Amino acid sequence: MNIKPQPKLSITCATHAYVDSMVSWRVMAGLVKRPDSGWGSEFAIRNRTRFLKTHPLKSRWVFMPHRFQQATHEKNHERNTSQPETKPARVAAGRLDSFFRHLPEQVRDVVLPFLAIYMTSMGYSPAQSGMAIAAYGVGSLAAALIGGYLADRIGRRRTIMLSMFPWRLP
Amino acid sequence: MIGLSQVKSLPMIMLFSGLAGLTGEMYRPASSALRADLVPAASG
Repeated sequence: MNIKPQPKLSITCATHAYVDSMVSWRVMAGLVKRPDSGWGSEFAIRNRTRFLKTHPLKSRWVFMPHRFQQATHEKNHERNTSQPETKPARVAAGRLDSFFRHLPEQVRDVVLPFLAIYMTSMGYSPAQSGMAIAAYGVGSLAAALIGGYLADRIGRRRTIMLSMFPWRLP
Repeated sequence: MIGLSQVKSLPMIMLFSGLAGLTGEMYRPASSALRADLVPAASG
């Protein structure tokens, strides 16, 4: 598909190449399709976007001639259309993973600060409260080692389920 | 988390806090590996 640039005299500068990094979790969960972005996107070609910022926080700009943009677009288009549709089971797995990934983080962020306040109100010193919170970090350290081993041994999904059910008890 | 809410002594609080960290973070390597397989390679 040959895309012609719009008749426009000004040179557009854009950082929309990094939009996909902001919506990646939605892509992972199957909520949205991977956006058409970057040098070879239809938006960049139509709007004559020749200069692109390499990174949102860096001031380095690169120049992309039109023929390279067109070649990149054709390569991306062929790859995107040749990929099979995401299976519903994979989409469900992505949503399950996203849910399980965020739930304990939210609870941890609430429980740990209030644990320190709660222990101080019970008469414990701030140092003792800090030790109790540090114990959580020690447990996390061991969990990273054990979780990686279990993921290889018994499978990822079983490891996630194994982690989530006892997590409510202690 | 339920046990942590019920204990009062410092050793038990530390024990249950450690267990909460152990079980609460064990999913992370598996979850990261699962995501790495789900998300296709980045476009150039």
